[in-house]
Amino acid sequence: MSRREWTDAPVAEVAAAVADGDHDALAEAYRRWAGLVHTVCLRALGDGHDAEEVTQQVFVSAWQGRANLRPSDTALPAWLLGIARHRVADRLALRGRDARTVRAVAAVTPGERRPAAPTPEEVTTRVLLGEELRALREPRRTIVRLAFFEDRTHEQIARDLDLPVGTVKSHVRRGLLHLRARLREVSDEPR
Amino acid sequence: MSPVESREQHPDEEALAALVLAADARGVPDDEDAPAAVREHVASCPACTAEVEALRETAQMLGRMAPDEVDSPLTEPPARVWAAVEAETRPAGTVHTARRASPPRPGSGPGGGPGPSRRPWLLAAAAVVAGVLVGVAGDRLFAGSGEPGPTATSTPTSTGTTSSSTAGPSVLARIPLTQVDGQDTLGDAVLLRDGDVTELRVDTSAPPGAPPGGGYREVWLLNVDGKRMVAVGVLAGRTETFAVPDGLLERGYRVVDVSSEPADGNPAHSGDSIMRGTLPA
Repeated sequence: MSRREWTDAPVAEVAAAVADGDHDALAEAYRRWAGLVHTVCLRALGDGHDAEEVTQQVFVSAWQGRANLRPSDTALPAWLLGIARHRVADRLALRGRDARTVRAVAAVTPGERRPAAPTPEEVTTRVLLGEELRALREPRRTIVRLAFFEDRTHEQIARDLDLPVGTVKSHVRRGLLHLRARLREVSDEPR
Repeated sequence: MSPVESREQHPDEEALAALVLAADARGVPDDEDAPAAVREHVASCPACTAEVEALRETAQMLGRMAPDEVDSPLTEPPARVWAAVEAETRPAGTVHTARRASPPRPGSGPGGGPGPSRRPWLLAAAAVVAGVLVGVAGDRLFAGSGEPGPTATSTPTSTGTTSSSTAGPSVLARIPLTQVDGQDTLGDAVLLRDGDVTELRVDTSAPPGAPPGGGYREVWLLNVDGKRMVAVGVLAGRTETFAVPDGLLERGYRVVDVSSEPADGNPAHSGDSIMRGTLPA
């Protein structure tokens, strides 16, 4: 069970091994994606204990249903997140939506630009976006943040960072494309 | 949409992104950002319309996020979640990647050889003191079979006495846990039955097992076949009682192992066992 066996393995290989019934591969999948699953659960459910329970359920379900896993490059995290969304939705349905709406709103942000309580799908997307944003390199990371979170115009950003406007525009566009592409990878959508 | 296949027909992806951003920008969108030709094409092209919509959705999602959602890293679940997953997904009869050689972890336990997760841990069997079955009230004998365990005797161990058959869990077995690379007894493990539930209580007399730097001790049940193991739970203090899932012991998971685990988020056995003992069959 040495970690060194799996650390650099491509996702498709881990997925194939899980589908084959290799329990070490399940441990590796947990190592890679339990944080993501748990964070989505935590933000969608607003309760640490429930988030832990659902996270456990996700990985147990994944193992029990491993015959359904298609070992492609992106299938495994997408599949885990899909299971997570279902389990979260089940848990929310169990509790009663009204109470959760209040807590979900409180857990996400104090009010400003959010219209309604986020669905599990939206929570997943936002957690993924947060991860991808943190992974961006500079200057794109700062430019994207200024453009999308601080509503700066391209011209303002160009002045703030002392960069040509064209460069800023390119970074914002390519940043959006990149984020969109990463979301598509883990959403298992055909398009 | 692939920009490669139809560069002549569709605008490239950056042009589509520009369209989305031009629509949301605070500044006045000029013809450079959203040229009429692009807008006209998109209006009549379902594929490009879909792509633009997807990009717009992402941009709006970003706009709805709070800065602290971006700044806060993922929250890893605590170790007990993996322990619970592993207990529930007991790897009975599953494939191990034997094709990969398992490199030894530095400072691993018995005899400086490879870690205990593969058959090499059986080599350390010499250091494992076989369990001694404590005499118990006759009608509670575990596994209810006439089959004697390998070292079944009815003498109590030096550490304890039998439990009564009155209220409370009954003791099915008590074994010493012996230092893996030595001879000292560092604790004991007691198998209890409380109604329908089988429990394992691990009691360690010597704190020196606790690793520095935020690590923790974890209890495992290793299979006697030397190939498989199940995580039972984290040993938070000196003593802890764990529920043992049904069927585990019968299927050979009888070697109680306490390991030293680093706080690295890796749920797999570190290879660093502190003490062990084998429960009787």
